[in-house]
Amino acid sequence: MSELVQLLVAGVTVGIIYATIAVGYATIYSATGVISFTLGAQAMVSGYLFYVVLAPWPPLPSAVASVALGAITSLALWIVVFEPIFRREGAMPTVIASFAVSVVMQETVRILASADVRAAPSPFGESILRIRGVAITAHTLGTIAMAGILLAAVGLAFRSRRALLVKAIFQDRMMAQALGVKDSMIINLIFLVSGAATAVAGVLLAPLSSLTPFTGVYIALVGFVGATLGGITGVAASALGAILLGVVQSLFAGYVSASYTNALVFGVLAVVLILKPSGLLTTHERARV
Amino acid sequence: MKKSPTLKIFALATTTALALAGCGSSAGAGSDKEVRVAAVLELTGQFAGFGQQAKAGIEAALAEAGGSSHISVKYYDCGAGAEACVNAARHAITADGASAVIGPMVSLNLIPTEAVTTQFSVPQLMVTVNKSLTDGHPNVFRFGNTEIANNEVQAKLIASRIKPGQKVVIMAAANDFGQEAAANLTELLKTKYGISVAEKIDLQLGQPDYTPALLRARAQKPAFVALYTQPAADVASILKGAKATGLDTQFLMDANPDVASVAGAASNGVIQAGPWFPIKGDAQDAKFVDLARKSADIQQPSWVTAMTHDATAALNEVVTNGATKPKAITTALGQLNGFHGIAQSEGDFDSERTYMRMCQLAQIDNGDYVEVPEQ
Repeated sequence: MSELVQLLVAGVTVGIIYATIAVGYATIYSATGVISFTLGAQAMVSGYLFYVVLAPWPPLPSAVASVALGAITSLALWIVVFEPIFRREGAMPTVIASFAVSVVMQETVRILASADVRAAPSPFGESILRIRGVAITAHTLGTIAMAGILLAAVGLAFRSRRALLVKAIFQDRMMAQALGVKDSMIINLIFLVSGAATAVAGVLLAPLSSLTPFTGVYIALVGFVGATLGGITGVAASALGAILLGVVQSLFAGYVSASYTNALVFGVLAVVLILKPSGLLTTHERARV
Repeated sequence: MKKSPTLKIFALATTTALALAGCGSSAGAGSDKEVRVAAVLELTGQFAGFGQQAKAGIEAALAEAGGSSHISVKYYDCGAGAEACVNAARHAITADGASAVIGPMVSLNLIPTEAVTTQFSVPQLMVTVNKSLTDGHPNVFRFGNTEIANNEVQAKLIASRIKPGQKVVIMAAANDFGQEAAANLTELLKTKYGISVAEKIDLQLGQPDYTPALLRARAQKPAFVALYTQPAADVASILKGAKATGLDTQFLMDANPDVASVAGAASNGVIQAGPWFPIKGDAQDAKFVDLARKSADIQQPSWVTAMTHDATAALNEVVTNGATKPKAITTALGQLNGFHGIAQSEGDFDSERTYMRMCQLAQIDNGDYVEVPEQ
């Protein structure tokens, strides 16, 4: 029994980190129809900011600065790189550009900070709580608390009346503009939110996986699969999908095989896209994945 | 007969030209002694860590040789992959006149690259544990031990320390390296020492959390866990996870210089096997570590650095002894005897053109390597 609980704890911990990335995908997709594959690289950059550049600072101001810079980076990427492509060419070229930007970000960090693997000590400390044979690290508790608060806040914001404007832009941008919706401002805000969520993921992930310029590659892919599993058009659905994926991954590795988890993840993606492309947790909208 | 001024001028010009040509020829002979070497390395991309370690080894060897170096090394970055490595090697040989190639570091890039060096009969020096790479390539020289040499010392250590009823578990990456090492150790323990491996757990690399695999290992209560995975980030995640989940065991693994710094306290006590370690308190190792750190931007030199240093120094030695053309260098390297390197004090090449067959154990102790007592 304790083993099952331990696996669930591990699954929820990584799942909630996937969820912060999945929310990044969902927010951007819900306004623009773009899947931004720079999110993994953005998370990695935030990890370097927190654990390397701002390491001498106390954890709280360092975290605030890293998340703020992550949000600003996200907005800057949209305004400088993606928006011109999006306006001229549409969503698909923007998705392709996001791959390119992701590689540029990885290589820039590698040139500036070297490819060496770096340790990332948890800002929540190294203590371990043991309850009836189940080990819960301080990092696990901190991750669940911090990511949980963030996800709840974003989820609530997207349930408000104003969030309908995002849906309006997604469904018919020109009509929304004709009705006076300031789409540019809303999309800018969306990129700030997704950047902040991604930065939180980067800070929470690094103590588990260590830091390299390529740290974000895997989480970007799994976060995307999680978002698709839940339903990429819904913020709450994508977050829940990602958490569910983390739990399934953990149970599968614990009881079936630890060497086929990637096959599981991408198998899930294939099955969802075939059977229910809008995601398991959404009921009406069709996703344009 | 009266000589005309024109003839005088012509004679003077001719003499001057011949003198200058003579000087040029002399300078040419001098520059011919400096043999061009192409270092085709993954200096960027996901394998840049290996490439930078190798670069540090080359630079350390050149710095050590100082003015007595007879080779000039030009770096070609092939971090983009196999195609980039092949193109770089071809360009280095055909356009830049390289007489020898060092690198690349990763088998995926080495295999297609050695086809190029073999085609042009240019000697290639590689630092790898993949022993099949010299098969059918008489121009290829390998610096490195074999995976099985690591497994042999690990099996010997386990056999000398294991008590009745204690178990051995293997955690291995689901790739060629992990699976081959796991198979080797299992076979060696069984046939040489009569020890059965309790469980082999395969790992999918790149996961942020290895709790499920660690719980399976913990269920066996193993005295030893042989961990066969290379990326330091994964190893650190596993070692930290082992501490958290209460997997109290002796971890054994192959050489990985980044583990101590990345895993921190969780790496204390881990025993690594490999061709070379910077042993705490060893004056020669300390000197090399200093030199390598000054030569390139690396935190801690590894066996890759030491071996690449040896490859460069060996190349310089045969060139200094008069081998300047590719064919002569190949022949001279094959006959190299008693070469004094960092990774092995008195080495030469075996029949498979491999330098170094021995292996040592070292234990991580608060970020340093200390010797493991003889078993």
